[in-house]
Amino acid sequence: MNKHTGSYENREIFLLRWIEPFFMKLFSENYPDNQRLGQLLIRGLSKRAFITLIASCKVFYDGRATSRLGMGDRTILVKADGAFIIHQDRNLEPVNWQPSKTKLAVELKNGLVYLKGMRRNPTETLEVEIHRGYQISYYQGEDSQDLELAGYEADMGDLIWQRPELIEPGFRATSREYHTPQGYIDIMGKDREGNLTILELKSRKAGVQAVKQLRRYLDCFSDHKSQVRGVLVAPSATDDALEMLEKQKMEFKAMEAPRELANQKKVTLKDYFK
Amino acid sequence: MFKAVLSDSNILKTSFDAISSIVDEVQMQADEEGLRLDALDRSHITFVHLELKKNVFDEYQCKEPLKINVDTEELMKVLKRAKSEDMVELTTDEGNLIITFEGEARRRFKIRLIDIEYEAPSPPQLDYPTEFEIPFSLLKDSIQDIGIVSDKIALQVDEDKFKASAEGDFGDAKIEYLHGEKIQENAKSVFSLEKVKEMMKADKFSETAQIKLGNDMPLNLYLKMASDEGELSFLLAPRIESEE
Repeated sequence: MNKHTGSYENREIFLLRWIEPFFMKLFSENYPDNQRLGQLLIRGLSKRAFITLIASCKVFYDGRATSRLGMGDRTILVKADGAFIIHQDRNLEPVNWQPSKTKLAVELKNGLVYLKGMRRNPTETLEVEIHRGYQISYYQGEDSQDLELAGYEADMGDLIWQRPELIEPGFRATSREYHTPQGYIDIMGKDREGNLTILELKSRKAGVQAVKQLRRYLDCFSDHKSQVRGVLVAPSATDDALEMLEKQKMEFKAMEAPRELANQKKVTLKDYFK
Repeated sequence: MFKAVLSDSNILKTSFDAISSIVDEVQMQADEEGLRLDALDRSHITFVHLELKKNVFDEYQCKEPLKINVDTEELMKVLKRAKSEDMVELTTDEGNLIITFEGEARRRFKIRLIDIEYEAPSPPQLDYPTEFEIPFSLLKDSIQDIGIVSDKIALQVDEDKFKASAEGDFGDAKIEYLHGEKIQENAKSVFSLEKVKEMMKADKFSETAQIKLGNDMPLNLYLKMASDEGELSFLLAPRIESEE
């Protein structure tokens, strides 16, 4: 009987060893005293975890400029790559921040906790003077994916480059990012009659600025013998933009930027670590 | 007590040139056998392994196993200051890695050790259908050739040839090399050019690159010092087109 119990216990220990990493993925504590808060910050930093701290604090920045933020309740984030961010209870943007690769240090002085971020290029220091911590948590997540984006001018360019007939039957795209003194032309090509055709792409509603841009490109070809067409390609255009196009004998072609994401699967070495 | 003296500073310089572009921080492990390092980059795309056995060094002492955690960027800044005829000496004190260059003058740098809880990753053991050798310079040149047209590179091998190729928006490129090895299967995988470039910084480690390649498998690049006492190897996850 004893023997049986013994082996049972062994199994539990064995299981715990496996469970612990998952269990420890997130650590959280409410109202730690400052001594404890300092220790937890050091532990979270040395694990290169994502730390979230809610605390009553002051914030000092010294570098390209100088800033001081008086006492208040703030959310302080330290990301795994060293990004250091301080949020107030309002606005989208953080009130103070330093980018990834910031070097962080913790110090306990006169009963207060100091969390300090340092960078050398440019030389700058961001220091949080913590009077009272309400909650600290840290977790070691796994996230190796990058954001995939579509719906930009470049995606429209790709689409037209591959399927020029979408502009009009007979249209051929001949060059992309053609260099002129006025900048780069998105797409240049020839229409069915062989007329040089310049496309200016906009992924959102186009305004007069886009028309003026197209005009400047066309002007670069003013010494061209035959007709040069200018076409603004966008999902829609403002009334004054359409009016301006008509007056200056340029054209508009309605087209949405494609929103399909590239079918590229992100593979990491973890997929082979099984 | 840890002390390692190397008459050829290029070995450390070239290794860490590659390593520092892959990982920000690293743990070196020293014991009586030598110095080693295993690291995985933050996005889990590249794994790097460096091993320098004690015979690589002109002088080597390590009584107790030691972990040396450093910021690779700081280390590289120092190593860049080495002249090729300099002797390099590595030692540690409480909280620092000490690097001394002995040449025309004696130059000493201290790099602060960093506090990280680090579990050295172990690389997956994979069975590859192909394994072959090509000159490192040829591989490096191919990567630069491909860079003209694309940010992706397809590496493939068949019975006769090793091929590197890419199709870009404005043009294509293809490099073929008669490898003269016994290869029975075809293998092809696609990789991010930027990631392959990082590895190419280790060009002074070895004149030959040993490559293991499979179909949609990680690239295994293995560099061995002529003396057989040192190795630097990389594993790089492939890029796979999904079939949606």
